[in-house]
Amino acid sequence: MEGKDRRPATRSETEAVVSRDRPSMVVVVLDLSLHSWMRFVEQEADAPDADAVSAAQACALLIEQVLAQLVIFMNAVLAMHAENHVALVACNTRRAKTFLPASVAAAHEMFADDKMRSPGAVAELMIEGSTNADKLMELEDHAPRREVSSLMRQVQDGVTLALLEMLDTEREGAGLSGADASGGGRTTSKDPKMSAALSLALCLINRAVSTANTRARAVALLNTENVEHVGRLPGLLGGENGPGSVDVQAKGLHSNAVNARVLIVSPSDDMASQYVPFMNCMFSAQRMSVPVDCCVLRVKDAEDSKFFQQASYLTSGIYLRVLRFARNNTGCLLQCLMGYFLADGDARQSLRMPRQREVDFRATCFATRETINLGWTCSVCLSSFRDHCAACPTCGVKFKLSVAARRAMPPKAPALKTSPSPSSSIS
Amino acid sequence: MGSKEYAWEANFERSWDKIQEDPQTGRLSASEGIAQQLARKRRRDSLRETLRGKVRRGMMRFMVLALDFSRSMNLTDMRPSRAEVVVGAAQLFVREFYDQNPISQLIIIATRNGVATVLSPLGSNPVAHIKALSDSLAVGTFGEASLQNLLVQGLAILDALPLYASREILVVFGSIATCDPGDVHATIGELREKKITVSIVCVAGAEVYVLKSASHETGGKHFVPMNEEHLHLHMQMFLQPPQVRADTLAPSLIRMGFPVLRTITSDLPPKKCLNDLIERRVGYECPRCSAWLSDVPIECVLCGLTLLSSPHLARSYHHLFPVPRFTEKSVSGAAEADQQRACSACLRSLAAGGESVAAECPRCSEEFCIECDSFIHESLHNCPGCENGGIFMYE
Repeated sequence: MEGKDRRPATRSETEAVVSRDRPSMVVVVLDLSLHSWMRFVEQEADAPDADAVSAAQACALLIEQVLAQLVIFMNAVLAMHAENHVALVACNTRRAKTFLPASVAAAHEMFADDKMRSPGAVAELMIEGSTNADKLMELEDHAPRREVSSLMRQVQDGVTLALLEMLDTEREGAGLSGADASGGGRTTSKDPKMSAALSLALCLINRAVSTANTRARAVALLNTENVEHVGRLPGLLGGENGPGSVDVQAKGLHSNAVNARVLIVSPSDDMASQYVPFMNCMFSAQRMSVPVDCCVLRVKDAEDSKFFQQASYLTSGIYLRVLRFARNNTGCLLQCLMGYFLADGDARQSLRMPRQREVDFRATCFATRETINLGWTCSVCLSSFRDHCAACPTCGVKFKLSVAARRAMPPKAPALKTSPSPSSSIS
Repeated sequence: MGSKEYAWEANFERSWDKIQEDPQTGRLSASEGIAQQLARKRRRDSLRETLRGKVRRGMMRFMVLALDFSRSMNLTDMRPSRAEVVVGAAQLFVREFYDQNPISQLIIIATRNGVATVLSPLGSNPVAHIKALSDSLAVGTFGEASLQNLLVQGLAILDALPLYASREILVVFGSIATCDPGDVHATIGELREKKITVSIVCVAGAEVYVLKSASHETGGKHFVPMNEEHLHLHMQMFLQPPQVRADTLAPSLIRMGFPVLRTITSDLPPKKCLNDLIERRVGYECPRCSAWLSDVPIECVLCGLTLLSSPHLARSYHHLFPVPRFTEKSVSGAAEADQQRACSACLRSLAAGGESVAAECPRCSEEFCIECDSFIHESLHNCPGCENGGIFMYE
């Protein structure tokens, strides 16, 4: 404190730190399950190349075209801001994997977080003796370094690798299930591993956000020398129970130092078997204020995706079904990507974004898998059923029947006891 | 609380608690902070409880939040005053409560001047509760506190509610005496008979016998927080649905409606929401009686059907299908093989800073870093490894 000019931060100064242009991080979750992409080819089955080999080739060509457009989009994201980042998680019916950052070293380079590991990192920085200027320099040294051209090359490589590896595993899987038909009902499920891919994406975002917040907090601390004010900066708090966080949460401000979002590109149907983990991901994203954008590709006349509609609605992301997307008209995807999904969360507030007119919040009957708008819910495990039953098929508890319930019960009670859990009753 | 110009206006900061001396090198480093330690312990404990056996939780809750607004809340042992700290904690609690228990309902009552009054009626709207709390604080804190009046009021409210839900009273009490019209122990006995649990957080800084016995006899919890941070922590313990004994709840099937969110196109006139009588274009339609309502969860104003959206139910499922506790393993930076190990979720190198700890999922044997471990258990509630392997939580 000796002789240093103590400049208490004013309100406007701290606000300037918060409202400055934030970098974005976009995690693209790409669904590469072949059978869903095949639909676009099968749609034109009356065309001359209806045999299996040429259909597979046509499908590969289609995926390639889509990926080329995705690369353009990801490069555009990188070009938007000097500190923007992109990540890619791909999934198919067998597994989900992170392809960008491609390795531990690449991830380390991307986040540059060796100084920012623990929640107490900032305090540690404060304790270590050196002048503020030195510490700021040191922080600068540990800021992510990047060269856009090399990052763009990484994007291209990551996407290519994703395509090759995912197609390989899928083919392997197809071969396996062909040879061994009894290879377990679940592994041959046609659902893409979307919940796994989303979990990976959110873990990456969690790392990026916590690193960026810690760094921003340290810089703010060093610049202002006023702990009180920095403690009240929204989102820049280390501990979850710090005195400032109460203030921030009470006001409902959740602003992170990095503007992270997820973009799902998927041609698949709803993954009924993954409802619970999928929703868990969405609630987590909602809590972190990470919008989940859904770019849904569907063949003509197919239904909208209930899951993705709910996901976008819950996290205030964008749900967009690319109209007119077909095998011979893939170009409209790029238009949508650039037009709707390039704008970050801050920019979207001043743009007119597509809004969902109708969101289907209906539940699914755990026993019959039917969509219901009026049903019975078990008070113990909260699973919902279309018909009244004497005991809960999910948790096995026996119900006390009220008069109203007995009256509503169908004359012949359906034997539901055979389906033990919600997951095994489908697939 | 505006900007703080003077030291005596600021919170008293125990800066020495945040530093830890390394026993070997004598180097000072920031310690984990009591809050984080306790949060970690709490997570461990609740997980252990859930995993040990089939614990049944009262997923649907009716809770009475009873606050003390008597003279004793004017004391300034918590800054700026007990009342303001408690109201701040209560507002935070209300918000989090609806986040974690979306199909539960809360009612807020308060005692001042020897009587108990309802601040904000039973409902599912956190905004109304939070506003009512601020409004009531503005009225002031005066007179005596009455525990019995609070409990009788709570009993009257909860007694009328259905038995399938867990019925709780959470009292935040600041006085060390209670001014009662009759025998408070008789009321406690009645609560016990009705199977209503009473939990008490006593912010007076001392353990009071009657408070302790009230919570003890009804099967609730009793806490005496040391400071503001501690108070927040104790309030958080009541966010998770409580464990219930099988005999207290009568399980039943509840009739529920799941309406679709609709937008009325601009060529049609907007409809009046039956709840607040404001014309709206976006809203829900009751599947039984077609009433137009602005928001769910709500009980249909016309036919009384409970209206929900399916995400409301899904939000509670993670309590029922928790991620197993990860086992901690140490990773030394020296071994060659350890250099290659990385967190399988965020790709962080596990051996980066020399000695460190990795967490392994017992189900899928994937390794995660400590940051991802806490993120997975506290926010995500999915193990990425298990999801990838096709092992689902509910098996």
